[in-house]
Amino acid sequence: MPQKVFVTGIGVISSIGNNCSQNLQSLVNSVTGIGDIEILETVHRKNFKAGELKYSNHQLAESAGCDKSEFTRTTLLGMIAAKEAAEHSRLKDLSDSRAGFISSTTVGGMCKTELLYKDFLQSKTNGGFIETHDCGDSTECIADFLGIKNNITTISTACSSSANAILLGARMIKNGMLSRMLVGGTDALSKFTLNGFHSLQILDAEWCKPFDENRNGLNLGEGAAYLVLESGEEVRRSQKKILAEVIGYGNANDAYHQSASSPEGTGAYLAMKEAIQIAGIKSSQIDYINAHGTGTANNDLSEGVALKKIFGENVPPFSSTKSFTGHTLAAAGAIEAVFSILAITNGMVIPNLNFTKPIPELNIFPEKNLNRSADIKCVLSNSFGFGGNCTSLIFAKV
Amino acid sequence: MNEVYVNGLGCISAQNTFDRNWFFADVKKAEKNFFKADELSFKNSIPANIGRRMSKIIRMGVASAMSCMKDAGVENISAIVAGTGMGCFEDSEKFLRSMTENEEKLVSPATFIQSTHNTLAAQIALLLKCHEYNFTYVHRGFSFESALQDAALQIEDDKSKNILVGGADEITPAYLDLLESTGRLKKQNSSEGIIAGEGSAFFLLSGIKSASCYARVKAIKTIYKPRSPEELQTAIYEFLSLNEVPIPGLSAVIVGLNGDAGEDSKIISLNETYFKNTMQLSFKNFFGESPVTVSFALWIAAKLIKKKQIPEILCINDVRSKELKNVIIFNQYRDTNYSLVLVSEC
Repeated sequence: MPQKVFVTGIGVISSIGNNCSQNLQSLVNSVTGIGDIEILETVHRKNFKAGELKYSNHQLAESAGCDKSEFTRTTLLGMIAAKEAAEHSRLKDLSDSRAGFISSTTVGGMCKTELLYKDFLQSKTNGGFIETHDCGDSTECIADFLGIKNNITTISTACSSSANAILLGARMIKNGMLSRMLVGGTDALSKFTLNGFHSLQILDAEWCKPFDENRNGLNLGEGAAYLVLESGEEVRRSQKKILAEVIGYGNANDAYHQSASSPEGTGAYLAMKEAIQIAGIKSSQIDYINAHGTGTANNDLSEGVALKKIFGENVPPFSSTKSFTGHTLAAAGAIEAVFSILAITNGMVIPNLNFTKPIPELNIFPEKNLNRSADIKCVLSNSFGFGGNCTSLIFAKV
Repeated sequence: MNEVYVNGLGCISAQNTFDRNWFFADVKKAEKNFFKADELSFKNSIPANIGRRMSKIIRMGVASAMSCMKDAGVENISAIVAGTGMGCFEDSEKFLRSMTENEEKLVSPATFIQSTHNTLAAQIALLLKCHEYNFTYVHRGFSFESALQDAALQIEDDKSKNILVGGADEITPAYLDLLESTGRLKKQNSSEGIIAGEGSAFFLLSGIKSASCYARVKAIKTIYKPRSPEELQTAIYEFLSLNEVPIPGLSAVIVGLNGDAGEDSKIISLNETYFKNTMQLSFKNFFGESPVTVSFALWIAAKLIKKKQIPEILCINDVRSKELKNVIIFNQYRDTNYSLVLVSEC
């Protein structure tokens, strides 16, 4: 008998708040975290806006309660969110063999490497940053910080990374392989990604406008989020409070282009279809969709086409919360999973900021206003990335 | 765990592994402190117009994946699962250097697009037009092991699946410079430091045994930061007991000694005690150290079991097994990531 997969703890840090309750307040009050760049050292400070956390690494280390500010920013953000999730779920013993930790990142230690690389190119000495450059570094630092000993791994599937961490955790619990998992992802802002998306000419100089006819690109963001997943058996024993259930997940590849989505939205369609099928529900039972909605011409059209293929003319209320946080890359899937769970526990549909006119080819309208009296039973959350990696998750009220 | 069969394989490394018939008859030495994968050995397996746009990790990964599918005689894949420790280092470094040197002006997007860690699995999907499950693990010395575990979990759900699982890592001049600057690379006659290695190995795994089957992957386990050889020994004992292979039932242990005395000490200690009466094989002295090095060890284990042939050059103790039924891979990466893979005859 497959195990049920319950969410018993959540933790998040983003430009709209340092924890779950601050994030919730910003969502409820339609306060965006996207603004001028003040911390990241870049020549583009005046050219672009970002969902940046206005704290130095030293301040982040203090707030995490660790004494080492030499950790990468990716690690520090992850520590804060992972600690909140673990405490929220009152997870005590993380060290036993039935527990695990799946983290994800795309930036990894690049946020540190890029600061030190110029000197290294000239001197060929002090390349110590290579030790924290890879994606496994943040995961192991967070694991050590929380005392996690077993079943540790890291995923990197571009902007669907942490959605895949949740998917993998859910699969492992469902199969009875493990009982308790901390899953999610973390990414810091970096010059590397800012210049990368700039070179692709998909950064909006103003606030991003997901699903709007005049959308002009994305805003980058930073942050981290983690969920505690526990098996039905585990929760029955501990009588813990359940926040939501992970009922569906789908992973598919668009197989169209390394960095662009197909006009047919094939990958997105297949991921949503699989998630709905695994959940064993009808598409009409989805009450809210937290869309990938980056605000680029390509993504929003492709995702919209896929939404219409699944839902026909009756697309459920949907929004892209990237209009609040910016695109937090590997962390986006987990941050948006936390928002999806908050939508369930608070009975709300989160608005999509900066929307005025629908995309003519689609004529679909994201929610412009907060609805706080909604009965949200099922939420679909989409995350798509470079390399055609598409993942959809479905959370349900318990 | 359901039965997981290795129905095909493909490997590119510093050795002549791309040649199906090669099995340690002749071996190449490292160039200074680097086991470099020979481009010429697989040059013709990727069309030149496609290969030119790919970095070395992608060329090695794609060529070994295609060779693996051909070996297995399988055209339709149910999932692509890749592991890589450092990812697309060449393209990341190119973009980083250009951004640094141009002070963030006029940077070309081509290398950025291909810098993400999932590029290899994505390129394979693109070439195969494969819309199925696609995953990339990037956890140091657990990258390939996690990919294997994922595949086993999928086969547990549906044994008819054909899953393409592989590991790949590349070494660039810039990466060698970085390793050199931290003292990680071996200096002549030093007991410290490693010889770096690169390459890629892919496997076609399924719950259904094919006529070309090499071996069975019976179990996989990762062990994070064990404090002592005793802790490792307990973990190995439990692992073998759970899989009903007592120590005398082991035909060989393939150990991941990397030449750094400090990092190797726990394995050496178990070689002298726990594995004393087991045939011990060492492989990194022919492949170099890499986060996905266990993919090369699995290639060796699968071939050993199928060929029933023990290349003497791999042996590091005096024990010789008469039969090759159960082989355990016992690896360490930076004395932090330890892993066990049990491979048995099919």
